[in-house]
Amino acid sequence: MKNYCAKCLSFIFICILSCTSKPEETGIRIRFDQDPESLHPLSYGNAPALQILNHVYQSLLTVDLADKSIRPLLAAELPSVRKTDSTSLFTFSIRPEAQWDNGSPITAQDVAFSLKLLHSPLIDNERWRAQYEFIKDIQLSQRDPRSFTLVCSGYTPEMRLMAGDFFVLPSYQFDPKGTLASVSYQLIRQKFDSLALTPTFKAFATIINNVAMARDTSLIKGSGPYRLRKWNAGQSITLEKKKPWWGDGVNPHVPALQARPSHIVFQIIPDNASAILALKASQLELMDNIPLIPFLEMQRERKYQQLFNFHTPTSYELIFMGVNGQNPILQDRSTRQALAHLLDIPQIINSLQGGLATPTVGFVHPQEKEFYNSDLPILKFDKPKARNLLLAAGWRQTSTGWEKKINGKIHQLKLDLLHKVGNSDFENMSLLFQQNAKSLGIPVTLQALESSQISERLQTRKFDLYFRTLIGNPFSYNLIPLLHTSNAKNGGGNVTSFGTAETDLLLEKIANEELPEEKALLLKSLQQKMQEESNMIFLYFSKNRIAVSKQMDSVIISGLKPGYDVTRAFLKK
Amino acid sequence: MSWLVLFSIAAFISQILLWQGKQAVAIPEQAYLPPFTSVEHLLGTDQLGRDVLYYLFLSCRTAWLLAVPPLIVATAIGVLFGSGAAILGNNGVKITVRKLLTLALLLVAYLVLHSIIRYWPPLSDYPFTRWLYYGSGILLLCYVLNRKPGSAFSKKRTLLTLPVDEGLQKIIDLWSTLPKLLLLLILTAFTPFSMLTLMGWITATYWVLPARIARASVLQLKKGSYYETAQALGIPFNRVFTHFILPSLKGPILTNFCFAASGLLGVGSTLAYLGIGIPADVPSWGKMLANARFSVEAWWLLVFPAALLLGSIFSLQVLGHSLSAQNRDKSVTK
Repeated sequence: MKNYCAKCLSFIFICILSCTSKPEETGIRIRFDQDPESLHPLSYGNAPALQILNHVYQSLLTVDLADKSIRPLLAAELPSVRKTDSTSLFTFSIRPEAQWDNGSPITAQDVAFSLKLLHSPLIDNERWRAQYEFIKDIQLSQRDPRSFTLVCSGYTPEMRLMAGDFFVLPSYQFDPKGTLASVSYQLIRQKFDSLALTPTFKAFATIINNVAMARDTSLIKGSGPYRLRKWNAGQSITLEKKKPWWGDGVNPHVPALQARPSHIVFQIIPDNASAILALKASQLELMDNIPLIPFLEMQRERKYQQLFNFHTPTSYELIFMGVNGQNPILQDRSTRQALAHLLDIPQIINSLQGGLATPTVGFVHPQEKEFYNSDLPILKFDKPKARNLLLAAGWRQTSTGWEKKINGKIHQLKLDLLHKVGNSDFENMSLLFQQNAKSLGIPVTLQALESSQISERLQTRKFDLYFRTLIGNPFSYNLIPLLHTSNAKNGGGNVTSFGTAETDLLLEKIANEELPEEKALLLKSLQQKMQEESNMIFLYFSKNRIAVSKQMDSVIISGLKPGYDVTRAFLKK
Repeated sequence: MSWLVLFSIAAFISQILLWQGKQAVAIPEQAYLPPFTSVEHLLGTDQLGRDVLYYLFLSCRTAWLLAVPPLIVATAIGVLFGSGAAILGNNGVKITVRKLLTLALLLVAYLVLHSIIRYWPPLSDYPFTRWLYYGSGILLLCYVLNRKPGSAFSKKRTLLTLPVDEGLQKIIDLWSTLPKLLLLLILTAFTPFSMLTLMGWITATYWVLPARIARASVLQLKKGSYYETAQALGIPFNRVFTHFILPSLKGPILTNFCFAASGLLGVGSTLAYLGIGIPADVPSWGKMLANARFSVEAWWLLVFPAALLLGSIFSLQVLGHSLSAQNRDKSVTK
């Protein structure tokens, strides 16, 4: 018996040995700092997921990371736009070569299906419903099954991208029974609530909401150049180039439809320090958002200079400090201005960012010269000025600190500063701010919280100050959700309670203005107003820090998310 | 031993410095100054240009505060619970059903009241109501517990025996199944980061071992003839406790204290390293070690705090060993 057990055990042991350490896939290995968690094309939740979905599914239009221009992807060319009084009509036609994996062509019906899905009841699509509210109807062409017209309410410049910026999904795969085909787009939007009660829609929603749709490699399939080959949760994701893929046959040569690498492997390494070790050991071909100090050290060393190209593209990640304008002690804008003068932007950039950041006065990137208000001063630590502003706001300096009588009650100027736990940049900035505030006699308590906890505090307006990142883009300046006073209520997007009637008017004009000269004037005056109000104190646009292996050619590095595009790259031997 | 005294003195001085409002000043322009290059910054500076020597000095306070006071409280609680359970045993406490029900009712009533007092605006603003709440709670509790068993009219009362010893053992078993660091990580998630809450949580985690030791020793002592003699002579319990039980408890408890403290120094630094529990503006060795991760060139951010940490842990370990050796020598059984 004993002998038998031993034999069994040794057999299992040999089995395990032979099963482990399979040879690695050859392909481009890229670092992810978190697992995508869900790859559902509607309810995905984070940036890595979107990055992968962009390789698997396609939309009508795309943004070329190289020159930040809008390019047709599934559409044959940019849409033709006709404007009427209250609507605008975008007419698209789909590339004739485009087809699904089963060989059937991609038609306007698929686009209609995808749009209906964005507005269907019982499905996790709230954010899309709000975002694509402006698409009122879709009209299919009678002559050509590939062309159609989107009827949009009004016209804003953002629509040029937005009207074609949703995944076109295969209806044969998502809706084999044709549940949505029988209902018109307008009807789905009008009868949203009553349709939710019908058994057919309930059955349909259970199919779409099925967990497998977000995880199963056989169900995550689109018209894109790659298929999801393997997903080891929390470890790696492998994408494999389809052979054949319809995009390879498109002539003439279209950059947006290029997909050179045969495999792309996304290695999920949450810890920065381990990721750097992997990069140094050449186990990764590309890593972005490298922490500053290791990046600078690698740049200096000859060994790594030979292995990697280093890039620092300026990104649209804007670092700012938010001030709660609803808090009685911060209601006066002079107080908020005083706090702004306790931040030393040049010092933060030079010491904490190693010079790899672009200081800014507002939400417009200084690179966008025509919109950026360069007349405004960059904030520096200015103690006398901050003191004068506090005195002007009615604060009195006593032996215990600053005091002010507000609504008959004596208030002390004591502040809590929230920042994300584990973010060393924010932590160091908070320490510097605390030190500057202390020199003026303002006690600041630092609170490191999880991201979700910070969001909750912001939503319920239970905060004084916070550091956060705002991710922008150069295509749209529709800031109404963030800055309009109608969104200042609890739960609204305007968490700092910014705004006056004047700024509301400015925001509405900016959202609808088309002429660049006019828009520039409006944006500049909004930047000035924002600096005067100081609800959001803008510090800098950070630069991404990317290392790319010299074995790879033609990787596109960009300021836009995700910061790089490897589809046109190839590995040198 | 002398290391420990130095450590405590450093902690005390930095506490005084803190009261005077002195902190390590950040001068970002002087970040990453290597050690032994300037007289002002003998051990160099960190990523914010803070002087490493001064920072490490102030960190002594953090380490000391996280190790010694919570452990003293935890040990006191542990000895109280452990020896209490051992003396009372499983049949020591009897309580009437009615009393138990009253207590439960009281608990429920006060739990309901708590949320009202905490969140109902007109009440939550006044600290007086809170005092009233806790004060009345304690008074009522004392009243219920001390009430003489009912009047002559009441029929025969059902007495419930509370198995104190078994209850404590169950709690100890449950508590000690979880690794201490893991337990601390979970507990700190419930409260905002501050030194006081972290000290509280450490106390809540570390009372188990002293309780166990105290229980075991007291059970042993209870069998001793001198304990029985003392009881037979009618010597009051507090005298028995201070004169007979405590002296024999002292040895193992002190030894445990030293080992636990050395462990806690490590745990405190680990928590700081992970960025959990300790606010950003409280200096700590673990935090400096965490920052050292980012820069391979700045070896001084790794070496100096690590040396201090290791030195403190070793000195406590040596102390613990010598104490336990002393105990073994004194012990009759060897």
